[in-house]
Amino acid sequence: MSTENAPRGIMAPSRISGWLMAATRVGVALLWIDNVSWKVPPDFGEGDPPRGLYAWTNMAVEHEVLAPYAWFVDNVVLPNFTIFGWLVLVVEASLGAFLLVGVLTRAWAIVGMAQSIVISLSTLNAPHEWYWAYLLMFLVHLMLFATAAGRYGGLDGLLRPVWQWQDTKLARLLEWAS
Amino acid sequence: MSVTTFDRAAVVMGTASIASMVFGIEGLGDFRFVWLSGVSMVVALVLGLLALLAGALARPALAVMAGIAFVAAAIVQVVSAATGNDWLGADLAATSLWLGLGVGLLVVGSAPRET
Repeated sequence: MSTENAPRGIMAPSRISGWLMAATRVGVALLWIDNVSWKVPPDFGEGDPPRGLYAWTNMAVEHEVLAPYAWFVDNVVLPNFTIFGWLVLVVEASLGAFLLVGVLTRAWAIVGMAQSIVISLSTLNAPHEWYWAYLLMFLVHLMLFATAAGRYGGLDGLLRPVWQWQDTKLARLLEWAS
Repeated sequence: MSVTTFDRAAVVMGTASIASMVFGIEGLGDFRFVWLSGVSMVVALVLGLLALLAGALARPALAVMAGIAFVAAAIVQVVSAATGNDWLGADLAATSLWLGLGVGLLVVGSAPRET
């Protein structure tokens, strides 16, 4: 990739590095895609015994990581779990979808970082968990953001010239998000 | 109409859909990231071929059609799961996969060809 085509503000990588970033982005997308499968509506595992997403969310209370977050889960999330279950399903399915094709990748990388933090607050102190898994989840999304990984082998790379040509606030926002 | 980079992207996404049929192999074990079987394999093949043709023939309208169909399949899968059914022989991971391909094809199909 020549420097004259370099995205503004980010160094253009070599061709191989670009494809490695694209492969990483697709790999992270598959992480989210794979894990959507067990967030099953309409109850998302709420019941006796709790299972699936409900059981994992309940870990924030049973194996508290942060007291205010545990309170929030116990008093707001779990009593209204259907709503939060659908929210998680939509967010994580979208994370997988948009990272897969590389659209608005930097914005979705931020969402991925936030979701990694939320998951950590439920699971970090749970039995048999490896805390590095959640740190690595956060770090890989940080790298997708820092490298704007959708610009290499992704649709962001094709759309950015269109947005750069358009002189609107929305186009500027889309440029930043990619 | 000459083939653009957007058309090549449609070819890639169509190929990805056809390649996703590998997830129909039960022996993949933990690497079976998406559960596809039965009707969902037909969805992956037919819509993948449509997207591939859209790109190869430089027909953005076909890419949009394929995109709409992928999004519709994703929605049907969610409804199927939420109602306790198994209409497509797939799981919610297929929803995310098809949503991505659908959004991608809608984007490339509706992108301006000249700037």
